[in-house]
Amino acid sequence: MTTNNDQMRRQLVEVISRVFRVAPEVVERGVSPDRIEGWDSEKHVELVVALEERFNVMFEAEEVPELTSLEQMEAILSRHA
Amino acid sequence: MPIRTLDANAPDAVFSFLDQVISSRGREHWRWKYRLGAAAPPSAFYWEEPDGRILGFIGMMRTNLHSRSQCHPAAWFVDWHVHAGAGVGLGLLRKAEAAAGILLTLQGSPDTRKILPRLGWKQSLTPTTWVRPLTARLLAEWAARRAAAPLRGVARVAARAAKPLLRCREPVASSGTALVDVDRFPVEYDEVWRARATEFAPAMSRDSSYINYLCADYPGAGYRLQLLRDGGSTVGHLISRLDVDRRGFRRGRIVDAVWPRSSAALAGWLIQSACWQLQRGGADYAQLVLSAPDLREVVRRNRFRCRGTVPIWYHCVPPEAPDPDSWYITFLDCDRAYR
Repeated sequence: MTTNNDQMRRQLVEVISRVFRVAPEVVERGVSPDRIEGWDSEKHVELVVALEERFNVMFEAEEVPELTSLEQMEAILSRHA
Repeated sequence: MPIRTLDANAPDAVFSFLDQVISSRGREHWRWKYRLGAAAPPSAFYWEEPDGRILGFIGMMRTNLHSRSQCHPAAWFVDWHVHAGAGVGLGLLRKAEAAAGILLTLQGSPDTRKILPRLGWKQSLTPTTWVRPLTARLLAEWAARRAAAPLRGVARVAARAAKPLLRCREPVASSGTALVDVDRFPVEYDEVWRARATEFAPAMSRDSSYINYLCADYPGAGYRLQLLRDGGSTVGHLISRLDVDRRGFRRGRIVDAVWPRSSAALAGWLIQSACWQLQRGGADYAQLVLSAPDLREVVRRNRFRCRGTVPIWYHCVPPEAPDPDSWYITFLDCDRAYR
């Protein structure tokens, strides 16, 4: 049975994969600005906007820089659920 | 919480950050610019790491947009710098958006211009910069720069010969029309602005408090404040400024003008007076920013030439607020040279 967490993880992988143009398998192994090439401030904006659109949320100012790993993204999105 | 509000007790590290990454203006300048110590809502935020390092800063200059029926809080965000950390800049921008109402900025850096559209910001290209040469020295330099190398000497001589054409005529006023220098705008001027605001709307505030903050209280001297008198009462104002630009030319800026809007004659007299004063003060050229069609006609008649657009980016404009392309904009709103 698919849980909400699984669904969130799958959607996250899809968004990150699309924004950074990397294979979903690469994203599933874990992401961070150090591990994904081209993750600069401009790409981060693109990622934040894409996440907000997909999950229909508006991140708080302090949350924005924390969106740098799958685990942190899940934790922050859970707070908005 | 790493995002902190800038106040008078902010650590020295913040002011050092500003001096290093924006410009070396010193604490007095930042105190003025962000109204530290004044009873004003917060206008700047910084990102401070637990070890005291400052990673980023965003600062706004607050104002109000007058439409014909409403007054909307607004702010120009004028400083936005990040040292490191993906997302710190966006986090600070979000903080400013939440605090500001309508948020505006000018052209910005290439990075800013790439990022803002992705965040839903839009651009107005209506405001334009206009310039009128006032001395042969400037004209000669312009001509020499544009001429092919062998013709530069000839271009300089030809430009100097044009000197009589550059002379500003002394404006002739009907009796009772005059400009009166003041150190500060009196609070009584607010009554005049209230009357003018309905004519100039949509426009940012131009009451005594705002003008005194921007011009009279500015830590560096240079602004000239004048009240426009007509028929025995104060009916508007003229603000100008004289300084030296990066090429060493004396720059005369017509910072702002307000007059009874239906009087094209008074508008013409104001601009002519400004040019005449600036030329007498030694300006090599007069410059202004405008967005209003009636003022555009006046400056065209006064031999100004359009030098390009001043793109203004905007966000969070409420649906009931007028479109930014219709706002009355001058240097008073968007001059970042001194701010």
